[in-house]
Amino acid sequence: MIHLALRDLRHDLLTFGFSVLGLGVLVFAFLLLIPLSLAITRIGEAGGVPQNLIIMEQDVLQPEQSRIAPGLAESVSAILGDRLDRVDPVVFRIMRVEGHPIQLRGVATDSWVTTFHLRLLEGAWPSDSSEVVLGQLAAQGGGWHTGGEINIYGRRFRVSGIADGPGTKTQTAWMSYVTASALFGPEKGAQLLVAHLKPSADPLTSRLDLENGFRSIGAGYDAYFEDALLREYGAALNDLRSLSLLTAVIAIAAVTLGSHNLAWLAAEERQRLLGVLRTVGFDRRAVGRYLMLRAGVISVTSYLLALAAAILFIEHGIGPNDFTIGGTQTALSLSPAMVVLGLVLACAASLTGTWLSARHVLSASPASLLGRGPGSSFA
Amino acid sequence: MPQIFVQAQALTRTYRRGSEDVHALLDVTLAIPPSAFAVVLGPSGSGKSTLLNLIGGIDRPTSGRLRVDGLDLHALTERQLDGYRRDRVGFIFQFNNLLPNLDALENVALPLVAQGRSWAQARHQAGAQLTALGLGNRVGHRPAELSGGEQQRVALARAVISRPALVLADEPTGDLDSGSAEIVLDLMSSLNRDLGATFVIATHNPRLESRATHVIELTNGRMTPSAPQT
Repeated sequence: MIHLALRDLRHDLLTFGFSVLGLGVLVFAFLLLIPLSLAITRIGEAGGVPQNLIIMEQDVLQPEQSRIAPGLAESVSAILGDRLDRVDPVVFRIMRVEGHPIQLRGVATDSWVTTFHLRLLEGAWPSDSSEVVLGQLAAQGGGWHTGGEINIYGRRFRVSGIADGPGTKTQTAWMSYVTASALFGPEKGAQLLVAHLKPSADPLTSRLDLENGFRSIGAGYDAYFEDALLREYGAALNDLRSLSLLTAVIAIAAVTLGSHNLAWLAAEERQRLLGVLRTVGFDRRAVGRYLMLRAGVISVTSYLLALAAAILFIEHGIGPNDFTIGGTQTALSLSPAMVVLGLVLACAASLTGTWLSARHVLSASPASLLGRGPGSSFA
Repeated sequence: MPQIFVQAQALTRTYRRGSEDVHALLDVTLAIPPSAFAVVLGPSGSGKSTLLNLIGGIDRPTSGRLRVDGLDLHALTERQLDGYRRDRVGFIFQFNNLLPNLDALENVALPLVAQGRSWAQARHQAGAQLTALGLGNRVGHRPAELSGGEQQRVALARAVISRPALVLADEPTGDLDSGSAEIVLDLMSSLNRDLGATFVIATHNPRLESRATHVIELTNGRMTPSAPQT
């Protein structure tokens, strides 16, 4: 039957071309929307858009005056549940270091990149408790260099590297939470908790739940967004991701409907042809196979053209590594898994549409397909 | 082989047109022996095509019994009916119903492909059949590139390529000039003799009567009482 399907399509190249184009546009949209939503998800997962809630003591103006009670981190975990990625206690001090005002942050080194988005400009991350990393502004202000020494709170540390982070406008020094706790002693503990939310969590609801939770357990703490703008931006990105996924689903649904309409038209136009096939001995399954193969050839051709167009568009239109959302750069690419998934979905949608439309033709008798009712003796 | 090849008893086919029942065929009883060259005569709308549809298994009767080559068509499932058409019946239509996207060779090869032969085998056999019908030089032409007479000869080749026991022709010469019609009728007569297949030809052309071994006359869906049943 594939021979018949190919001959049929070749015989009517114009219709074939328009069918391929019609489906191809939808598949093209699908092939761009899926990587887009994945890219947006990646931004969220990579922490490109921080969704951090800063928890500090109520009625405290300066963060360094806040004090986090023991066990509060566990309470935060219990309130936020699976919306929470991790919670980091932060030792926060503003002090003079060798005569320069420095904001010192002691936080688990695991979170430096993932939560605080520090980027190493030179040197290395600290390998033990005798090393610190300086922010670029602090290094410039104090004249410290990678490999040099710095005296903090009466103890000498080696500067292992210089780092920078998004929105860093202060002179900061970074050390591990354990090192900072040991340096300042246990009595003042951590000043802040940073609750890092999962990308799928809604920051607004999480903050509200957290504050309600604090009230219910009688804890005098407030939760702030790390940055109100980033919060809104994060929410918008989540919306965008949902929207692009929804649009991708709509594109596939449109492929189904488009295939249905194309197959319906093809079956209507070819009733006589199908009647002849039935009359000369092809059974319903064979005729159904013919229609399916015809639709399959259109689907695969549409898909390959759309895939080529999508790759060209990504590679040369916007550039695979030039794709940025709100200043955060991410890769927009079609992985082999996406390509296979797209092909399977497009073909499944197309074949489903064809099957739905072909049922009435397949159930008709050869005589009615040939238009041989009463008075139609000249068919 | 049974003495009666086609046997119809009280055969009726009724169509529903709006709220009205249209009897395309009413209470038709007939018998056609094997290898007959039977002609069904009657004006347009007399039920000739409906009778051929039922004998050919492309439609089912509303009531009555119909046996062809020992098979009770009424009792056949859809699948069995597909097999009946594929293995035992060849069709010729007035407007030939050749597939426009296939050339003459492929059109003729279709019934063999339906029987499960490969395209290569079917083409080979179809080429021999077309040559036998004087179309050896037209095998690669599409229907639109052939004359009306040539198209009908291709349709004839398609009808007999699988050597069916029964060939049904509905107004096979209705769209042809007299010269082409004679050629087609001569070919049908010789195939009837050579292959031993039973031919049932519906026509409103009374000149075919002279070639017929059996004549069936229909008027308004009924057998004409005076029709000879020899």
